[in-house]
Amino acid sequence: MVDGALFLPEEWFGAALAQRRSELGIPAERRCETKLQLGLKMIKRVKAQGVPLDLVACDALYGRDSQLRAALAAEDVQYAAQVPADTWV
Amino acid sequence: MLSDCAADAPMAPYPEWILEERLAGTGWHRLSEHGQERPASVEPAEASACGEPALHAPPRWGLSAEAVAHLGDHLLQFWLRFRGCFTTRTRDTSAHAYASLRAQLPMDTARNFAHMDRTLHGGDGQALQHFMSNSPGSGPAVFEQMQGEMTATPAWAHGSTLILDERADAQAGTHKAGASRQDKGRRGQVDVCRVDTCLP
Repeated sequence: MVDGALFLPEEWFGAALAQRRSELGIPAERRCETKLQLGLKMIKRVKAQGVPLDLVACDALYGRDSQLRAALAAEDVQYAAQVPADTWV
Repeated sequence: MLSDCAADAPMAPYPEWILEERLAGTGWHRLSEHGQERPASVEPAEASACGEPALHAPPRWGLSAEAVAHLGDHLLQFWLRFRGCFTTRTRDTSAHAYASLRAQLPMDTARNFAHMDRTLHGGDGQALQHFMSNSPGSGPAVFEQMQGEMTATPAWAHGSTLILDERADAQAGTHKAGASRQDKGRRGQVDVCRVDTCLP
């Protein structure tokens, strides 16, 4: 694994869990992000580090999102993504 | 499991496990277990009852004995390169990181912390369990070093594919960071778990 990020569900950013976030060492600046946003940030990060990257493969959770696909293309990242059968491409 | 915790977060007290002197430096060149060296090439290679090569027999995995002869040494070198990611200002728990990897190599079954620790050191596994549960150290530092090594390795310059995926870790409760009732990512199962988004 070359990068990874803990996904924090939205409920973890509520006021009710503020103290627990602090106790667990979750950075105060951490904001709620979807798995797609976390994934795109990781891809940009490893690319910026110069990690060899010929292709990114992902399942339909990511592939169905046209904005993510466009963002990968904008980053000049080749991808192989699963999409639902009824997806317009 | 990945950790967002700061590298120098205070650790809860647990039974001290002194780093063995032979592990503390870089001069240890062979794996040994209670003074008995056990190179991978002499692992038993008998066939199982169903005719398949035994779990540790290299042919089972399409490997020659030579290919795995230095597996233990490679594991040790790997740990020596990354052990700095498992230290804090006040404590060096990196030996637990090595133990968690080392113990699994010769074990066929029952790869739980108690059995792993008993096999290696005759312990009860509590310290190892604590280490794995609390993840003292820096996840980002591991990734940074991993990325640096990949960048510096010419053999990986072309043909690399990264898989954007998630990994779920079942939890007994919601007291750990990120634990929640959520999609486990497999066949639509929903359960209490933590989920990492990762690039394996």
